[in-house]
Amino acid sequence: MIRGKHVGIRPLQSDDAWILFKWFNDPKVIDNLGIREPRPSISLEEEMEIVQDKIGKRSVRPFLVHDLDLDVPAGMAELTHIDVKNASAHIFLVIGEPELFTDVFYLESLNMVLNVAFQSMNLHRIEVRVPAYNERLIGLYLSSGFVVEGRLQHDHFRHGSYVDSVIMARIRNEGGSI
Amino acid sequence: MLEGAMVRLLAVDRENLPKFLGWVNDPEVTKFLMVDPPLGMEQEEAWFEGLRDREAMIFTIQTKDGVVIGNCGLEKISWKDRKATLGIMIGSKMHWDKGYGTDAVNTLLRLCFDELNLMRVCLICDQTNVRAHRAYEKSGFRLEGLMRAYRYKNGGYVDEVLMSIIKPEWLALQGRS
Repeated sequence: MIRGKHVGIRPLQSDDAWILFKWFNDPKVIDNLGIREPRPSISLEEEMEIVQDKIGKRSVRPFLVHDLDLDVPAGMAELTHIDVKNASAHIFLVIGEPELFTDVFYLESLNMVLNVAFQSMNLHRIEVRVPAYNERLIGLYLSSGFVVEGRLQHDHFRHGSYVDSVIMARIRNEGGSI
Repeated sequence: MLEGAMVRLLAVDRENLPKFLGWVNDPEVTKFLMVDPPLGMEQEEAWFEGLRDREAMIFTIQTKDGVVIGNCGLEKISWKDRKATLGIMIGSKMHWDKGYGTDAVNTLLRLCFDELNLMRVCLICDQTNVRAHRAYEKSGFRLEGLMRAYRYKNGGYVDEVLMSIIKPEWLALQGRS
C-alpha cells in the first residue's frame, strides 16, 4: 500500500470484485460516471471477469483506494489506455462510499494516482473525460491542475438522451505540485 | 461493398495486407498517423486477426477502376452510445489531393448514419495536417477540442485535434433535417 495523509492506494486484486460489485450497483455511485457508467446493474460474475481482465492487461493499472483514518476501502482508481510510447494514459477515479466523497479525499486520491503516473511510470499526459453535467468533478480536476481541452458533443447516452463530455488533461510539469 | 462517387469500399481481406504493409512503412504516408513503423508482416497479420475481437469495421478503398489506394474504417464502435471513431489512410501517393479520401469519408458517413444507426462519429487528426483538416471540414466535421502533447514524433510531443459530426448535423448538410 502506498500511504498518503488520509488516503492509501494499492493494486486491485481478484477478491476486490465483491466490493466493486457493491459499489457499481449503487445508483448514487454510478449515476454521475458518464461514459464510464458500466450498466444500470452488474452481476458479481461480470464484475469478477472485469477485474480479472484489468489485472491481466498491460494497458491498465487498477488500484483500490483506502480511507486510512477509518481503515476501510473507499473507492477505486485506474490508469487505462496506457500508451508507453506516447507516454499517456486516461485516469478514472470513483469513490464507492458516498459519505466518504469529500473534495479533500478525492483530490488526495487523485494526487496519489498522478504521482504513480508521473513519478514512477514516467508518463507525460494524463487525460480524463468527465460528463459535462458533472460540474463538481470538473471543478475537482481543475483544482488538480487539469486543463479543459474540448467538449465532445453527444458523447454518451444517459437517462434517455445524449449528453456531452468534457475532455481534460494534465501535462507533466504543468501546474500543480507533481 | 459500398459505392461512393469515386471509390468503392470493400471489406478488408487478407490479400490486401502486403500492400498495407508497404504503406505503413512509408514515412511520408505515416507522417501524421498514429502508426509507429517499422512494422513487419506478422504485426500486420496480428492487426488483421485482432479485428475480429474488436468493435471495428475496416474497408479497403478501391477506385472505380479497381485500384486499391488505401483503407478506412470505424474503430471503438459503441452500440450503447451509438458512436464510433473514424480513421483513413490513402497509401497510394499518386491518389492524394484528388478527392478520393473525401469521397471515402462521405461514403463511410452514409454507412454510419443511414445504415448503422450511429449518432456521433469522431476522429483525431495531427494539428499540423492542414490538408486532412480541410478535407474533414468539407465532409461536415467540426473541431471540438485540441489534445495537447498527444503523440510523440520526431523528437517532441505533438498536439492532435479532435473533430466530430453528429447525425442532426449530417442530415442538415444534405437538406434532410
